[in-house]
Amino acid sequence: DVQMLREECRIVGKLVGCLPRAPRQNIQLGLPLQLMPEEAKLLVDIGNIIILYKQSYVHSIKISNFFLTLVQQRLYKEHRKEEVSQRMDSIIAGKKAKKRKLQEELNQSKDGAGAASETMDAPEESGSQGALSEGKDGADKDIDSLTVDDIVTTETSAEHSLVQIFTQNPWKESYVTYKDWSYPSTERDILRYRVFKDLWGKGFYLTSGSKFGGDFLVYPGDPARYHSHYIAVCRSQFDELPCLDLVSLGRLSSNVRKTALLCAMDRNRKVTYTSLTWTGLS
Amino acid sequence: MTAYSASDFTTNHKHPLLEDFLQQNPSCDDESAERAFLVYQDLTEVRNWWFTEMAYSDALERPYITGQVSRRLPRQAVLPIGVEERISVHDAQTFFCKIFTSGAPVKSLTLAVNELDSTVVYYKLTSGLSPPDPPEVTTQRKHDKDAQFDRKRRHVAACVQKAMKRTSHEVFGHINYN
Repeated sequence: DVQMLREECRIVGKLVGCLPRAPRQNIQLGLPLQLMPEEAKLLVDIGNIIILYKQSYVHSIKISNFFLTLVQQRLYKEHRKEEVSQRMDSIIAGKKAKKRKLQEELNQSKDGAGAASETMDAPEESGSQGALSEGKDGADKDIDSLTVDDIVTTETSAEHSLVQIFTQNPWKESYVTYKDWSYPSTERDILRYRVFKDLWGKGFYLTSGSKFGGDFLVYPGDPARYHSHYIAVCRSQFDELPCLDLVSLGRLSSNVRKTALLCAMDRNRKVTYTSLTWTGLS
Repeated sequence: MTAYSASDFTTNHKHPLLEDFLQQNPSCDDESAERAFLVYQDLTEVRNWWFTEMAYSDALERPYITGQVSRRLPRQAVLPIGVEERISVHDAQTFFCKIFTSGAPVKSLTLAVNELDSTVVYYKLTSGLSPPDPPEVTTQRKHDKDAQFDRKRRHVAACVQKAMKRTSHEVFGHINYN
């Protein structure tokens, strides 16, 4: 695509990415290619590109994380229930044993107390013992009827659930054509775009001119093969330049073997050019 | 003892050519005429231009100069501009319409940006796209200039030598005579 743009459309742009095999240097940059707004507008006008707008659903990531925790909690609970149901028998037996132990301890303490006041508390004891034994049986029944659900009651908190870290772009992206591009809107932008289009129409290659303090650099051919011929400076027609600015522009351009090109747009929207070069007089 | 005031000592003599010019073009103001005259002097005395003339453009209300670098080369127009002035692109385009050499409006003129202390810088303004000189032309031009300078230097050295010989001969001749 980049190649096609360069060869067929004479649009150069600027590479701003890094090369995959040589990332830690910025002498040679790689894809993506960044276009100047003038370049993009020109390409849209000649029908070679369309502007897309990336719509990404950023809020969905929070929702998806929340659902993830719920799912995890549910799964974890099921897993625990499975484990518990497998070991149900041993759990019940363990609980019974524990209860029996507790009761024996109680009985022992009770026997100790009972020995002291045997006669008086005998009917009570038997009653209580009977009650105890009943209680024991009742408790055993209760324990037997324990189910998995009674044991696994608490939810694991969200803090203990796993969070997924994505290795790829997790957002759902869709590309929508952008119809509201309001470029060029200011006077200066309009002028720059007109100049760009005009010079491009004459068959030149144009790049950004900020290296030489101008608006564009105008190449007679591919920038990789030629030096630029002109430094295009766009000024509005009646914008007055101090003479010293003209002198500095002329000096700079003559030092780098280029011509300064003052571009303006007249009332009929036609672009007029004035070249500023060095005279032979020293 | 008469009292003299400072104004008695300041004289406002103008160069006769400048005075002529002002007389011929009364609508021209003194300052711009002076400035133009500085450029004129530079071109005629320092650079030895051929057949330089001062002219006045009514439409632009400023003086300009026409001349040729040498007899063979075509005529050019030089427009003096003060350093403090401001030019817009529209103005530049009007220059091309209103300034004439040999009866036709110019396609490219030399802008002489100058100060009243006679510092002048010349830049060439062309209407339209005018590509820069290719490197071969620039090197050739430089070579020519160097050669010219070299020739001049040698000529001067030769003259000096001749003069030295003559004077020494006179001196020695005198002594011998004595």
